[in-house]
Amino acid sequence: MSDLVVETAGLRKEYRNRKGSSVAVDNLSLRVPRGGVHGFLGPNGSGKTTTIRMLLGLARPTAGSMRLFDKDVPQRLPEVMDKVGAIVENPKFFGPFTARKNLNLLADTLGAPRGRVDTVLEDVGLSDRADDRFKSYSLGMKQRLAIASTLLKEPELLILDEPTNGLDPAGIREIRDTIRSLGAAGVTVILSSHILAEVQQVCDHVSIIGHGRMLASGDVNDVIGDSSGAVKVSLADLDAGARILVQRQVVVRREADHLLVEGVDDTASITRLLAEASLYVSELTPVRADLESVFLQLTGDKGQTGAPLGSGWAGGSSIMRPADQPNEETVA
Amino acid sequence: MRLLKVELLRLFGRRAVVILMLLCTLGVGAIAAGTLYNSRPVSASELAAAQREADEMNREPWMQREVTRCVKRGGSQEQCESEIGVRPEYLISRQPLDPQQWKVWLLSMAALVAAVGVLIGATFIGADYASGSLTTQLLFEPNRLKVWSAKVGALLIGVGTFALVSLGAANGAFWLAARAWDRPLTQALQGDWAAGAGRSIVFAALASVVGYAIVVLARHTAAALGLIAVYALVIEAAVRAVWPGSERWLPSNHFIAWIWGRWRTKIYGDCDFNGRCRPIVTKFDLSDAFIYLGLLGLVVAVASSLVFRRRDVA
Repeated sequence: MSDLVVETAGLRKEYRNRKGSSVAVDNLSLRVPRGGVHGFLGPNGSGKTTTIRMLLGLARPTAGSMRLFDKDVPQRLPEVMDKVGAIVENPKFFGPFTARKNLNLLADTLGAPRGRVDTVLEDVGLSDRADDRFKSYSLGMKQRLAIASTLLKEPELLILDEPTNGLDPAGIREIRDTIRSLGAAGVTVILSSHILAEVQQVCDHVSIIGHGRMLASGDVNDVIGDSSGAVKVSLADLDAGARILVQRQVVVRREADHLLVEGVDDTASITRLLAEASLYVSELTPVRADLESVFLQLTGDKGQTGAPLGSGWAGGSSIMRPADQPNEETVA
Repeated sequence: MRLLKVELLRLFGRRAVVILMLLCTLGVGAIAAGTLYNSRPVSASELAAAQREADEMNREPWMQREVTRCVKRGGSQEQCESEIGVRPEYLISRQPLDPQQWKVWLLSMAALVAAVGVLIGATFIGADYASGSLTTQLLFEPNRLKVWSAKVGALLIGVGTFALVSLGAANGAFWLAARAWDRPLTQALQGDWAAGAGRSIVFAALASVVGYAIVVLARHTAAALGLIAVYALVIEAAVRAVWPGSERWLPSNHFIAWIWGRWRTKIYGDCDFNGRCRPIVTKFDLSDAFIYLGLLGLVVAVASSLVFRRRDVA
């Protein structure tokens, strides 16, 4: 038995419309190992939801193959669906029905006992509002109900598509805690997100997708570690500081209110070099490369999407583009 | 069976479906009550009132003059009063209940129940699409043909049962009234009537499946209902106007033949240059209607199931 819960090869999805056709997913090979929380990261419109919808049998692939728990899907989806809980985009229930009624119908579909509905409602903290209509729920409550519905199955694989969209900070924290605890409990969780910080905080592994193509995949720390770190240096006279460091063959990027020093293993050498020139550092902070910068590196900094890169990202630090760089000096 | 039970719970859990059924029951009840009220037997007090009114009219001077004129022409007083005078029954316009009219009552009620069946079928799946809950349902039962079939099964059972109750009650009321009022009820008439009522129930159940199937094909409830409304109000009339020989192919004729057992149309469309027209008579029997409506329903249902299986769900 393979240790992969999800495996796709050459997956492609084309949408045809009056203007022709557009490719949402292109030759995607996604591999999700059993256990832990796997981030599925990419900007809005990168093909994450389409991929998930194909995996769950909601959309037909144009080409390629998919396997869930070693079974070809969508052909053998009914054999594995009992092990898969999923929320695709927004929680989708029938508005005029109460939360309990919506879950009762789903439990009856599975043949699960009605008592299970009470349990999952309690698990997500909705017992008190269980008899309210779904349409009266706040977005956070709707998300919690959607998670409750996935728990009806006691899933081995949980696929969550942008589960924190539209939630307030408390709701976001709650959902992230839930994801972490499910991952810790042995459930394989695929967390689709365009929020870099979310994936960094919650996931063990990550697959980065852009423009429907797989860009990178692996352990979150490894993927981030591939890009070298930098050090943010603040001092009174930035120009003088930059000149001193460049003279000592250090790569420096001049920002508006600080310097970004790259490729220095010994950060103490920076303070020493500047102090020797009577320039005193007021801030020296290691800048950890994040998934956003990895994404930019993977797409060649130019952006393959046509739109400015980063337009679909949220929650990360500001992006520097070559054109935006006010100054970059390198000593040969 | 589990899925069928779920879909039945979903069907009867929807307020729109319950409201449609209640409104339809009121409509069928109104047709039955109105017809029975307007054909109830004449009471002694109504007869006495009519007699008083007739006597008053007969005492009018102009009436007396007419009777006198009649007598002068050689009639007897009694004969002339009888021929010219107003009788009480003239003043009671109400016709007694005629069981031979079952076809008229049944057709109007069957059409109403079938129309509501179409609406129920359309709103049942339309709400699933509109709310997106179909996505969630498919995450719990990914076998789409099974889901499609369970929904069709729920409609057949749900709308069929509703039609049985509403049409059964209304026709039962007519039958009981005919018996109570000593109206002629032959065995043959009762047999035809019961068979027609049974076929109306089948038609209503199948109409709900057609409504459902059209929404699956058209994706939106409004689009499907608009299509049905445009057909009913415009297309059939237009086809009739431009193609006199089209009667054979119009669904409404087969619907009538299905409910009544047979039906005949007579159109004066074949005219020569002198303006003399020969009628085009088209006869429909039960087997014609069965084959036509069955094939039509089957084509729509099969197309709907194929689309439901293959189309991406948002």
